[in-house]
Amino acid sequence: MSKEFTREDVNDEQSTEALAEMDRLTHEKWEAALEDGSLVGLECEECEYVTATPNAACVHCGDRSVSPVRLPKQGSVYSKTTIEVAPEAQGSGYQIALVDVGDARVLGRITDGERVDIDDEVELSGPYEYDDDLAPLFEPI
Amino acid sequence: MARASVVGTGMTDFGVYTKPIAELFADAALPAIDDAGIANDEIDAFYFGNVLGGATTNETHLAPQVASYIGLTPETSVQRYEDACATGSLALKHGVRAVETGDHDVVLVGGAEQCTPKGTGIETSEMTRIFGSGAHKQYEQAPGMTTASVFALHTQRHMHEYGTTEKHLAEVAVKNHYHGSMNSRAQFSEEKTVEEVLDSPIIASPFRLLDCCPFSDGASAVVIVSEDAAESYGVDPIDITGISHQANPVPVADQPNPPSTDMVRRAAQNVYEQADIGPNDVDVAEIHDCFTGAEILALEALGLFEDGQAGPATTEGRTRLDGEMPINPSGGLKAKGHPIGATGTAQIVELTEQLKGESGDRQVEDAKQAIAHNVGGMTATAVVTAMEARA
Repeated sequence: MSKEFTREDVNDEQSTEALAEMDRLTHEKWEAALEDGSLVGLECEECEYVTATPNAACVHCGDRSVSPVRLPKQGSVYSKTTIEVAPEAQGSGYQIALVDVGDARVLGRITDGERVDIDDEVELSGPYEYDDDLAPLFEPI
Repeated sequence: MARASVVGTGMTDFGVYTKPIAELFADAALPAIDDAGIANDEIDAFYFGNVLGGATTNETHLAPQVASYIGLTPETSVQRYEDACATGSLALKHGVRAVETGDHDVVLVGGAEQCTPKGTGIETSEMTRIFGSGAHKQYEQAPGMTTASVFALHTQRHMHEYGTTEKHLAEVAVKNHYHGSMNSRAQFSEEKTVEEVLDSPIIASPFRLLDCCPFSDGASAVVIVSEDAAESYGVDPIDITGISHQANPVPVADQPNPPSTDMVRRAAQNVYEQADIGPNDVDVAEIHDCFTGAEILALEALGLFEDGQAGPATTEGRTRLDGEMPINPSGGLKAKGHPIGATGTAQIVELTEQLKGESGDRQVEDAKQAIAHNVGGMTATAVVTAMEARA
């Protein structure tokens, strides 16, 4: 017969489940890294896919052995668009871009007033804040 | 071998409606039920598509409410479906499965939606925010992604890789407005020129106002039954020979190499296998052209044109009504309109009429095989459906 799972087990910091929970890259940790000027992603030990945003498992193969990796601050623009009509609090006439940072790709905001094109080199210039969430902000190099 | 058969269709004109959602849906559902020649108590299940009711009119649990209004009996199994702009097709998928497995004999499938400022009392900037709710809050909405801009990211890359031009995109709008001018149910009846499209203001580059489908109100409905039962309804049934529902990773940054829209390629391959046809067999298609670039991406992902060729093919007129591969004879989302929960089944209404030869001025000649392509969210969901006329 299996042992009853108790409240003590849940609170036991040594339990495997608790450790797994602590090790997981959460949105909170990802945002904290962004505030410190760095981008943290996840690399899958099984298929080696690298993602730039937190997940509980590999978005490519589903394996749960994903480990946090620090992504480069510089990258190149994979695609971009200039947005004129947006929710009011986002403003208008701004760019967003898919940016290749090392082996990962991330959606970021381009610094207001700047314009980037595909293949342009950009650098993480800090967090952009919208509706209490932080997003990567990039500027052209 | 069909998976299900369409025996009745109905839809409202697409445009602006301020009436309650149940009244709007009734204007599509009652004609569909009449078209099938059935009584309400013959309907075993009702699958209803609606996306925004919770955000726009504070209404979420709509299936029982709408079922009651149109007079379905309390014994009817009713359910609401939500899958962003692919909502109607998701409801259809479940309807097809229900009659295919014998769980239900007769299923009413449809959708209704109000998206216009007048229909909802919500102005454009706020509705743009609500439409963006299909995006990941932290990793897509936060940096400022909108519905137009995700398709813009795909399209910009397509332009970079294949040399697709803004003029190619404009030609999609011009073609779909031309088709819409022959559709009395379309929200826009006026034709547009390439110059008018290219002179319209930018929404999210490369898309201009006339590259974008409108905010629309409207409803659509179909009655489906099992293939074997179809003949007994005394109508000319149109068969659904395949339906495939596929997803892409979210956020868009994790989708494999935009603009490949991998999910559509998987759905297309799957549906062609189900229907035992290939892209060359398709006579007519209704495509999810929420933005002109979306039609270009879809034509290639569905295998109807080689990668990089859909832009030039459009400019050459190959996708017009009299071309080799007529696309969106209804006018598409672009001209017919896009009341999002109603769009999936509206595509099925159009293709059913096309396959019956009942489309009047916009009839595609000798249409026997058709496909519908419906996309939801930030290029995160695709449903492709194959339909066939009985010989």
